[in-house]
Amino acid sequence: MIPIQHGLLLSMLLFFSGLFLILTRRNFLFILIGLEIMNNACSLILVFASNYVHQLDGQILYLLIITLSAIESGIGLALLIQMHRYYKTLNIDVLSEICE
Amino acid sequence: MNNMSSIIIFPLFGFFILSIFQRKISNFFSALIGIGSIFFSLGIIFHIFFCYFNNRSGFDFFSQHIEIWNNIRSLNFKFDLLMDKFSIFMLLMIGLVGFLIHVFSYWYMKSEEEFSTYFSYMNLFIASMFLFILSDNLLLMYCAWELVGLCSYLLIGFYHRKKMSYKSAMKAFLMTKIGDIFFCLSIFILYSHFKTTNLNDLKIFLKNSLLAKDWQFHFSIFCLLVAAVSKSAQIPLQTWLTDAMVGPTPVSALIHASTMITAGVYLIVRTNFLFSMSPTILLLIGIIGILTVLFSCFAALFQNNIKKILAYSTMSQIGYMFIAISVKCWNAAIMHLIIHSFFKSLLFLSSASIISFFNGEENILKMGGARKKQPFIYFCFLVGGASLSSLPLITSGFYTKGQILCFLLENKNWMLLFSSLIGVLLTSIYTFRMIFLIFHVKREKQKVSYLNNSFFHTFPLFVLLIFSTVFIMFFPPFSSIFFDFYNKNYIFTKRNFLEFISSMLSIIGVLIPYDLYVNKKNIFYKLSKKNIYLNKYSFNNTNFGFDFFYDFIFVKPYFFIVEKISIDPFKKLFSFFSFFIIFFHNIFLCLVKKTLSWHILFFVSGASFFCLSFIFLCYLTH
Repeated sequence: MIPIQHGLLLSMLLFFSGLFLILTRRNFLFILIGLEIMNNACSLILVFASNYVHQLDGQILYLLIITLSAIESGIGLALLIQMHRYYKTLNIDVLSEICE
Repeated sequence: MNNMSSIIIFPLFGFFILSIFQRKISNFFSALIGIGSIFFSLGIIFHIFFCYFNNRSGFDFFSQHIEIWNNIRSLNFKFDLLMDKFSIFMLLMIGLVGFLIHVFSYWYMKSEEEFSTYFSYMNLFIASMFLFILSDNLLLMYCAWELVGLCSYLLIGFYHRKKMSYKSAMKAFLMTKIGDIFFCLSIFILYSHFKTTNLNDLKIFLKNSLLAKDWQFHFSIFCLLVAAVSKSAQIPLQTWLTDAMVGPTPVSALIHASTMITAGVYLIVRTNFLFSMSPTILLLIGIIGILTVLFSCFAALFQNNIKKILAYSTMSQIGYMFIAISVKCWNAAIMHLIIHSFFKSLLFLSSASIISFFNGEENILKMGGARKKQPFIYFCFLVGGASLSSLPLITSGFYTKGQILCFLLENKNWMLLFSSLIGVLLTSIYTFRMIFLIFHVKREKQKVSYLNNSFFHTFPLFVLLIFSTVFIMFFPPFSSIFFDFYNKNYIFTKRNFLEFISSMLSIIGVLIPYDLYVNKKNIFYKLSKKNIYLNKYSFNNTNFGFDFFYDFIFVKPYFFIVEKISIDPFKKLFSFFSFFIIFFHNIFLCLVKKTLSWHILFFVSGASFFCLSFIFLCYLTH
């Protein structure tokens, strides 16, 4: 039986490593990967929580989320390929339209 | 008499058409519209003139009601026209001179780029001048006065690519603006006294009232005088006229020699019932006139620019009109005005062709020997100059100027008479100095150009040439000028003696420059040939210190005050707020102007800050 503290710590570590990846990387692909990591870290908490309260709701929700994230990452990657074809780059600073 | 308004409407219509179809119609058509509109109104003027002199039914003035302009309770201004003996002659003169100068402009401005713009301005000028002549109340007169000033500004600055022309236009506008303000003041004072600005009503009120000792009333007359002085370029406000010569030469002929410049004289004559109430103001007019005559004669003696000499001569001739006004002979003033406008526009138009003959050279010291190459222009210039210097018997200027001198003799005003005679002498000296230098003295190394003597060039000069001589008496409208104003019973022996003196003076005035510049046997000839180039005195170009004076009294203090006012304690207070705002703006701009990862970081940190503070609050409450 894994204590919940360990699980929360693991998911927090995963979350912040994903955030770190987003903040530091310039390549869009790595940012997408970072987002996936963060997403999974959040859903991991659901699994630990369902285990903690002895109910299956969380684990079923996890299955749904992971399906969604697979779709999301698929669409994201497809857009990424299109973007790479169109702009010939994946550098986020070049692509950014927020700042001039 | 009911078609008086159409005199104004034709040129105004021409102005609108020309300004709407600028550059879309060919030069020929725009000239046709410009000249044709003046031609139509000239025809109407002739018609009205003959009506006026054939139906003498006791009235010597006619009025036409057009429109109620403004009707607010007791304020009731009507848009009415009034024609009397003076205005009909003025209309005739302006129509005729304006028509001839329009015809001449077609020749002179042919190669100009903004041809139709020029004609539209000229048409607007003629229309507003007609309105000024005909309007029966001071307020409408003031509007026309301003319009005329505007047209003068636009046409002086017509060659707007030259810096000098823009400056001169501004100077002319501002100097005449002084007069405009005084005109306004005078209208206000007169309105507060009589509750009307209509000239006829004013005349009737003045007969019945005892206002002669009211200082406000006299001040209003003084204001009218200042307006007239500034428009007619008399002595304290004359500096703009010589600078106004940078405009096209036909414009100088029309506006700054014959029509607009005489608007001041016409204003005084139109309101003569006001001016005759105040002897002190009349004396002041005489003093201004005599100072202007003497000043401008001396200035013209030392001037080398042909157009500026003519400008000074215009000033001096208007000085004569002022002198005539000061002894209350309005007829003589208007008569001299009309004849002066003919010979002065002749002089200006022939100087325009001389200037284009010498390839734009305006310095008379660099011209010379044009007599044999351009005999017709020489003849025109000679007749115009003779009329200006009032050579006896053959010229028309002799009779009108003699009329003024006779009135001075009759009034026993010896000071004015004596200085007018000096003016006659000086006028003929500087006129013939100019003529001899341009046409007789031979010079080498001249670039002359071929003059295209077309109909449009020769016809106006020819007509004006006839009108500058004594032959003007044989033309029906103008013969009545002479017989209407001239045939009055004077003491003939004294008059003949005076005319003899003035003609002797003008002949002496011809002989002196002849001796100096043409007669080769004279010792002075060699001396003067050397000294010709020493004539460039510095005071000449600065209007004898008048420009410096105005610069020192008005322009520099104005800029000084403006500079002082611009240092403002409140401005610092407001600038503190603006500094504050700009400071925060810059800080927030630092946050915004970053890369995408910064935005994510801020977003995450902001979100986590709110979450943490929420948790903290929950912790505190429980």
